[in-house]
Amino acid sequence: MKFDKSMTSVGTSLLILHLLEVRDMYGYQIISELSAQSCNVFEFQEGTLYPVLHSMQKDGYIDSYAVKAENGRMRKYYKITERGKRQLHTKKKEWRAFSAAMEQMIGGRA
Amino acid sequence: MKLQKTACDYIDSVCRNIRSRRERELFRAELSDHIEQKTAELMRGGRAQEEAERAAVESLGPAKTISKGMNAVYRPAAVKYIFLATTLFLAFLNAAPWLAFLFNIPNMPLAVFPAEGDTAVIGGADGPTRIFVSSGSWSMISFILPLLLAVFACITVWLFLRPKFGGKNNDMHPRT
Repeated sequence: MKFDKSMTSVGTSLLILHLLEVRDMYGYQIISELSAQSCNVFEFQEGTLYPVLHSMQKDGYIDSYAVKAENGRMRKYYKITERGKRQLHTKKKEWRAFSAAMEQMIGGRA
Repeated sequence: MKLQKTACDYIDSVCRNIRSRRERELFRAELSDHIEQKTAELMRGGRAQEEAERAAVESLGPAKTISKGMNAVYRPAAVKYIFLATTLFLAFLNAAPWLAFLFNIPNMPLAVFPAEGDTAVIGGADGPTRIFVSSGSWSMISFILPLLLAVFACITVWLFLRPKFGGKNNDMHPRT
């Protein structure tokens, strides 16, 4: 199912923080997990993930480190920071309140 | 796996347009790794390398979109350049009397010259103006200008080098 761009872009950073709370991941892994865990609902142009990741890192929500990968390259892993965890919990609360209100308004009237 | 022309051209066109030199090189490594993984996955599904690379590049989207996004994240900080300009201006103020002396320019703009006794000559666009300056104020100027220059130079150097020596391990060096 294709969604309006504005609907998916709002939640991208929330989803990234959610994934990184479970374990550290690299860019390609984040994209694969987003796609797999959402049953291919959250599929977007893969390149757009990187500015989001770098922006979140600049804001201090995530941090990165490099590990030598099996292909011999240095692979950049992202990890959530304490600030990111606080942000995730705040945004989760906001999202639950928002989705509950939306469900109450339009749920069951499709 | 060695990436072929399709992937290399794409990586070049993304990175070429990233303004921050430091981020450009770091992102090149990150993007190359991404394409290599995606290509390998598609090749495991039975595609030839060239075809897999093309598909990997297509799934990333237009090169311009990525570089534009990266440039939005790594905007040059205006404060760095304000400090650099101020440092250069202060350096000029400090050097002006010496330059005027070395090149024999009597009306050098902004040059403050110590003169005999308690007078000084300030050069300006309208020609030299003789004013009275006490020896106390001259020594204040000769003390404050180099001090200001030193302070601004230190801050400028720190602002420009800070990302390279930052505590965060946010580049491509392994965390130990």
